[in-house]
Amino acid sequence: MGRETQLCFTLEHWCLWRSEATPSAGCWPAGEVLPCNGGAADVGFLPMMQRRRLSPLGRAASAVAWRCRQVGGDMPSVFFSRHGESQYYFEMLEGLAAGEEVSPSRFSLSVHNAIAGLCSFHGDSFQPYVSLAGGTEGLFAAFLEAAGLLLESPRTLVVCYEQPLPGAYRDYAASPRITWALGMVLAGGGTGPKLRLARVGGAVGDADADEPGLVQAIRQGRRSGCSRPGSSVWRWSLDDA
Amino acid sequence: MENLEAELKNLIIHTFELDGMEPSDIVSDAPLFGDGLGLDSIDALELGMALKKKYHIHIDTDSTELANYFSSVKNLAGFVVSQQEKNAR
Repeated sequence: MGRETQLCFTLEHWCLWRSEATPSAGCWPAGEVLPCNGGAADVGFLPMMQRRRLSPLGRAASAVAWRCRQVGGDMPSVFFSRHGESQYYFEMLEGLAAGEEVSPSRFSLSVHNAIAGLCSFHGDSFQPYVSLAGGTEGLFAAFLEAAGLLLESPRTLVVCYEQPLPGAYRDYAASPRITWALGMVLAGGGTGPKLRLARVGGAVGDADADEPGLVQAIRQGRRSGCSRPGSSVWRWSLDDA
Repeated sequence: MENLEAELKNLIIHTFELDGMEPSDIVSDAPLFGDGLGLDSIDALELGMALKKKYHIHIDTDSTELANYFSSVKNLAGFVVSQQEKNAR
């Protein structure tokens, strides 16, 4: 990758869920905010035997992914989370330290690609699913991956999600205050608002401390901005078609 | 034995977070796995752990009879009783 990368997507649909009530007025076009539902995303669309597997974070990601697939159909998908199931793996580590056995199902559900895997089961999907973590690009890594998948597919689903870190980690890593999940149906062409992203490498800045700037901008209706997820700078804008 | 079966049904509902399910929804001699209740192989491991914790019994994973013991609540109850009797000896 060169020092500067430019991406352009057609934003066919977006869907945001946050664990606190979020007004939908004034948000970006072509999308929706799902009801907070008392802080646990509604996954009533799933049969109980599938629902029971979902953590609070899994419910959030699954709810936005499901809604985006209803709009855009089945498609290759990129799942991104910096820290994933941090509550689960921290509880397991505490259990191990106390000499307890690890729950097999908790262990299987805390691996980083578990949520992506469950979401592919929910939709009976045979499409490629990619699960990404951390890295210096933050959630923008998911857009780089989506650009690659769009070379082979007319549309791609990006799902980003995060939850507050267990207290023990908070002195060492930025943690969101709430749980959130964002789904985006991206296409390479066609009509709709254009989401443009440009990466400028090399600059050193502060990592997004709370919810990523891009997620804040979507709900506040701010159409352009600049984020520093790590050691790079990403400029982005949403233009009407 | 009926009390133990009811206890095991509650344990299954609690362990697998079967929201909205009542013990009476689980038929004692119906299959727990596959086409029955719908539990899977990870659930089998989880159930084994829950049984060990609650009843302090040993589960021999090499036993060829294990699949049979775990096939229904009724068989599971029989298995728990036989292991508890073994422990008492």
